[in-house]
Amino acid sequence: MGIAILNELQNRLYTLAIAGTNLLAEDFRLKKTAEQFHAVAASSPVLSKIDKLVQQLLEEDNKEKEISLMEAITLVDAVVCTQAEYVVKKEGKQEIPVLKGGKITNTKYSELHPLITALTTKGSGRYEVLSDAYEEKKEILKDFHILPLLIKGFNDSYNEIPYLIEEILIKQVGEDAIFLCKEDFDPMGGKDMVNRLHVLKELAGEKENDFYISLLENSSPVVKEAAILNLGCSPANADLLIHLAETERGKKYKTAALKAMEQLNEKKNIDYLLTKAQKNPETYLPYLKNCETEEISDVFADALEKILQELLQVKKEEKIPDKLHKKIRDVLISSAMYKCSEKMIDVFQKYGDTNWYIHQINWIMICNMLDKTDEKYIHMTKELYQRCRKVYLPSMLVAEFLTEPEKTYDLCMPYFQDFHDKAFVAEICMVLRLIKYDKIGYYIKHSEEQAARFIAKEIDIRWIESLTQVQENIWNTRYRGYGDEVYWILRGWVNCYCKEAVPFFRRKFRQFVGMGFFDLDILEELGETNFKTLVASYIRSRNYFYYDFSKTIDFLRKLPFTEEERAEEAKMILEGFEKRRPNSKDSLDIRFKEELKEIIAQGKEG
Amino acid sequence: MLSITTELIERVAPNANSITNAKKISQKNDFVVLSKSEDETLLYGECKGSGKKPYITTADFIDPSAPVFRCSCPSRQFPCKHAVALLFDYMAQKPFTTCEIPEDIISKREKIDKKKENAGKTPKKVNKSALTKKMKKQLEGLDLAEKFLKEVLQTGVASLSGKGLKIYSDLAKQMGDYYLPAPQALMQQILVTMEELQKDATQEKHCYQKILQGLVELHSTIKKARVFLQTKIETEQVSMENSTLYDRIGYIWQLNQLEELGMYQQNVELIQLSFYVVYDEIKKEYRDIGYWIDLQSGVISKKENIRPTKAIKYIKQDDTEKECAQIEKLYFYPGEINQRIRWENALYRDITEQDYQTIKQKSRTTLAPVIKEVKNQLKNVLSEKSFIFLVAFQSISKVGEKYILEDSSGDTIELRNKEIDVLKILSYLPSQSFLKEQSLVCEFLYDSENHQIFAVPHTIVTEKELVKLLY
Repeated sequence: MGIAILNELQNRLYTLAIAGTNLLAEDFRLKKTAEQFHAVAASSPVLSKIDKLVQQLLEEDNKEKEISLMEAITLVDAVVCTQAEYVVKKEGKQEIPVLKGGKITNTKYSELHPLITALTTKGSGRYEVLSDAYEEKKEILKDFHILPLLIKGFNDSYNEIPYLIEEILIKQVGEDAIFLCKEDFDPMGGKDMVNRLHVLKELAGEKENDFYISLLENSSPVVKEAAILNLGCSPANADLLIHLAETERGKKYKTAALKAMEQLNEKKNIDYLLTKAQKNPETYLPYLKNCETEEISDVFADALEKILQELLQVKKEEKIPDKLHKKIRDVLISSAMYKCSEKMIDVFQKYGDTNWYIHQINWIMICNMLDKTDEKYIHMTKELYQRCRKVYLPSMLVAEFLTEPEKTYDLCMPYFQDFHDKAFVAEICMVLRLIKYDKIGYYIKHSEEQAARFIAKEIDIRWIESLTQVQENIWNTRYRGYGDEVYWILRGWVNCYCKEAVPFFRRKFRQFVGMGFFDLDILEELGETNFKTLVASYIRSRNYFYYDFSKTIDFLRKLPFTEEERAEEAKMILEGFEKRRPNSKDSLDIRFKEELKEIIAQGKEG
Repeated sequence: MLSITTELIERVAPNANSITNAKKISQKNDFVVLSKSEDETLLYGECKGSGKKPYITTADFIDPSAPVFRCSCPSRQFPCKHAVALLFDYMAQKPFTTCEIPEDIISKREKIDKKKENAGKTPKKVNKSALTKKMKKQLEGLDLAEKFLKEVLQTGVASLSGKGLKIYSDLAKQMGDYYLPAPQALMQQILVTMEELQKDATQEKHCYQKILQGLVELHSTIKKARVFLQTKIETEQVSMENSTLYDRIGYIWQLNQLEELGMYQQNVELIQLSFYVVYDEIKKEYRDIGYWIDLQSGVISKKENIRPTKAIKYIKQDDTEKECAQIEKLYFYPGEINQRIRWENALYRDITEQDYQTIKQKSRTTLAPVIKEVKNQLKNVLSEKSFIFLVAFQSISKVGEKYILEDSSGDTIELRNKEIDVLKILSYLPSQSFLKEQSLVCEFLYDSENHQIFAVPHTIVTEKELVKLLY
């Protein structure tokens, strides 16, 4: 039908509209096209109609050129669109690879859309949306709409999000995430590819060893470094890692190879590290920190002995040189875990006698005892306490809690005659803070990741009585920024089920009120009935943020006040708030004050 | 027996916060009294509040498709969190004693019945002179719009810039005074696109295409609306009639007007096929768009909930619907394919496997007749620009980087994305079977730059479920 000429006419008419009908007289290309079109127009009624409109447009005395132009374009467009194609070639047709792993959760738009928005835009609050979904609606994260977006989330500029996504993929999505991480993997990529490698390491481990090896060449520095680290998943890489440590030029690649060897814990690699440590203990010993053999323990002991000799050369009034401090920190602190040979005990005794780095050694022994169930670590601690006494009391206390908890109070208290030694009391407080109560009993652990070790159903009441004294006592521990350690100890120890202990906890938490709103919840659980002035104490005691407003109102409403008491409390809060933020025009402040006034008014009505 | 489900609660609750707050009330057992009428049409509760006296809350299900919630609390939200909490308590099977229906509820029910009875008996009086005056004003506005059109075409679209854009922008604002919101939106779209072009010259072809389409549409609107309005004035037939031109002018239909024109159907069962929300930057409004299929006729219609940003707090957002709506009276707006629909009250039931099979059977078996219908619509400038159909397919696959749908006759069409990358998520479906021998709800569009019709996938329909792709 001459679709080509029709398309050309359409183009010319569009060009005229863009340029303006004022230039119509000079538009020779349109005129030429119109002539060509006129020649074929007779072939169909609709083309004739178009032709008529175009001729009308071109008439010199046409006063309505713009309308004619629109009429012509309208009809040309209508005809052109009826000629539109839709069929596409299907030669070379392939199935769409379905990666699996996605679930059809039939989640509503109102739930899915905020998550999609959080993963694809840079708006504020996106971390909270993602973490809320992870906590409350885990299944939604496996939805097939969400999975591809999770991987994209590794590109997010807010650092916490990629780490959260790693956790989601590892713990929630599971093995299906392996496909996701490998799909469209860019060896020349940046930290988003590193995040993918972290996930692959956790989920696939050595199964993807070939993939990690493939990334050792022709990849970006961060990807190569992460790939070397991942080689620590497979024992088959023992020789390769030694080769990399020896031949790689970049320091970070060598370090990655050493870390991978540490993770692998193969004999070949251990022997290599030991050999290297003879000449350069500070560099290589840290990679043996997970090894527990006597031989390695003795090597550490020798290194620590040498350092101790250097320390003894430093005069008391002098500062420890940074280089020496780094040696001690890198060798002693990061590496002397799980080492308990006789030589090691002797060295720690010498450190104990000379009082160097006792805090760190105590913590190493505490971690040893809590991480490992082997009795030898408890014996080591007890042995050192026998030899050195007070300096190793913190770790001895943990050993005693694990074996004979009923003896812990009597072990400790003789040392508290001199309660001016605030540093020492602070050390003991840090140990007591490791202990927590849940409904089953008391347990201890040194970090969130570690499994808890059970101590006893109840703790010696003398501990509680001592810690909950309200007057000035040995537990006043405002030492070098440690803050009120007793508060944090008792937060973990509070037990509403022990009738004997409840009155002690109650008296002390009344004193604490003002530290955190949850203290009011704790008091309620402890059966407290008199909350007068307690809610109001928050407004005086700390910085008051907008998210405290709703908590204040909630507590005012739910705590067992009479209406008059509630109104009185609200009045105190209002007065305190007015003093802190006089004449505030902030809408949240205004709403808070209105809610308080409502409670006051209800008290008057009642 | 009264049935309260999570879906029902989510449907009646004004927003997610009220559900959260209601759950708290229910979990804390704040209702001190819980009762229901013997016939279980009324739920009654007394709920602890911050005051001395508890709040009296009722949920009246005498008409299950239109429950009425009442509460003595000072909240301006409707239903309030107490009413929603009452439903949660019932759903949780807490003990409800039996009670008499209070007198005030009985009299309120009677009032509602009377209102329903009287509705439609006396048709609303049409103020002819006011309508005529309005139409004359609209005609003046159309003249102004045409003046804009002519000036732009005379000097050329390319010359629109700076001061000119500002002048025309002010003119577009004035269209509101002439009761022409739709032409106003068209003019604003043209001007906004021109501003975009000035910021990014690489989009020249696309922007000019869009502007010219807008001008053509504006011209057709002016032409047809002028004839339409002049005829109505001259013949004094000012009352509403079944015409899509009202939409083009920007008129908002009232349900009673649709009722008077007989534009409704009774006792219809609909299932939602797809749902999404778009934001119109020009009109400053959100549109919740759902496409629904009539289980009996297979007709696919569009439900659109408009939420201007100014009133966003007061209008509830629509959402995905996972149940089958049983509608007593379904209203249709003027239109041809995918007519806009609306309803006031509905009951809901679970969707069965039989329903999915029914839907699948309503699919168009080949592409060719669908394309014919699409082209037929496209040639009308004032028709919609996209069309939803349910099409059975043999396979969805790839040719190079292109995605294609193939029907049972071997015909193919390209599948593309619109705003969301729908095609990418096809790879994340649980199984290949979703991409073979199923049906697809898709949106047919015309690519004017390449003179090609393509389709955007919305939902895959199988014999057991609807897999909604568009979020």
